[in-house]
Amino acid sequence: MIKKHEKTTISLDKVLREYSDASENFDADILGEFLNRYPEYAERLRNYASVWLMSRCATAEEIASEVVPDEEMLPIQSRLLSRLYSLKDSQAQTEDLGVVIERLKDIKGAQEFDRIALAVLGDFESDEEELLIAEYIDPGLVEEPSWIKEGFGKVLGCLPELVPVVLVEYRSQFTHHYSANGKPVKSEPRSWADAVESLSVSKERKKMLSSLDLEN
Amino acid sequence: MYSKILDEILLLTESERKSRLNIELGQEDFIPDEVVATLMLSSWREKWPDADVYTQHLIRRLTRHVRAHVRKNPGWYDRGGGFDVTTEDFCYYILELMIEDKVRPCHAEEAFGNYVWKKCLDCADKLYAKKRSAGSSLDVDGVKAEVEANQCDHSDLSADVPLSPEESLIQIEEYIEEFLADKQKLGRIEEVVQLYLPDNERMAFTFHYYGKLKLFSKKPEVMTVSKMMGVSERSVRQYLANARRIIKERLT
Repeated sequence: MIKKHEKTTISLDKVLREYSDASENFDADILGEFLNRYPEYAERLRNYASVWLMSRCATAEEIASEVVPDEEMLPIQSRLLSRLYSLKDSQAQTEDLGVVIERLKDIKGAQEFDRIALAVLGDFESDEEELLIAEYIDPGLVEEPSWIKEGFGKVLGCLPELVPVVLVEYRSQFTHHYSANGKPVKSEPRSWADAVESLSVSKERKKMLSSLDLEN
Repeated sequence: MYSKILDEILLLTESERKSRLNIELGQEDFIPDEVVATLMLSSWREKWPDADVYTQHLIRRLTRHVRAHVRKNPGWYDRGGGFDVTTEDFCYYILELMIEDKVRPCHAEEAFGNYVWKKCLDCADKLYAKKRSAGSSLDVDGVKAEVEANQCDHSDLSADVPLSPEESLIQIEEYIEEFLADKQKLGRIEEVVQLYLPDNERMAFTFHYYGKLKLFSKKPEVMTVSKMMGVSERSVRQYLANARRIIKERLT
């Protein structure tokens, strides 16, 4: 049972759905209970209850008499089907994302990191470059050159543009594995160029690692 | 309840199934909406080659339900961008929810009509919340209503002494009660409430008249409009007075 004033993590949509399913018709006591349980959503709960009370439900006869002619129905069916297929495609992409994140989770141990660093960077001058890769994965580096995304995309088996999305999702799942009393304080991720600059490698190597295009 | 019919349908050949789906409500061998929902969801999840057929049938039935509900609620389509757009948006939202629902069988497969109604309410709530978050002071209807309420105030001031909200309430009470007792007139009030009342007036009015809540009570266990809205009794009375004036003005 969620206590009053305790901040909930449940989403507004879930709370409204739970409220809507809690009774067949409007019940003031149930609304009161929800207002008490989720004070942060009080305004929306009140709005929902008010809309519920003032809205009129069509009767079975009214629904049955609602005949939609084919010339009207066919375009509606076509548009809705097309929207559903777009939804399906985006769901498939999300599922693919899940597979890629699992692949990333499987990267464990020094040997695996070596393999990834080599695959992305080609070769390295110092072992510190492995740390660069580790930092890129978590907590993350911003403004990375596109060849880094391409390299990671090849290693993980996904499109380069999906790499940042995968990493963000991976980090969010990764932090859930910890149980800390307080919220961990996270610093802003530094830029790829800053991270390269702090490496103990030659100037040429830094230049190469910072270049936007690996060919140059 | 529907598993027997579903099993029976699944035993049919593809063409027999299609002709059964075309049987209209009230005729023999009509397939209940819940069974069509299960067929559509199964075909969608399990990638049946004829998934589109079931989806189209479900869309047809869903559209019927949604259109009937939307038609009865002018406030919904007034805020939703028109009757057709609102109907289609509601249908899409419901289909999306059905597809994403992980529960088996989902609510739509057990009580389709009730499920659709509840989801229409979700959509309507979003429309009203959207309007609210956009700023009620910029709400043209709301402004109109407030102006009208003010105009109405002036007519009430024709007496030498201005009426207090409480006095106005008593004066309008009989008029509203008379309307609420008449089903036809009640429909007109419901329309005004949906279309023209500003948020606070709408909430106070719906909680008090439709929800049958008292305005105020000294007993902490009694649910009142004042408690529901988190405002004083005086504010509730003011909202109700405004609401009644707007309704009266719209009805005459």
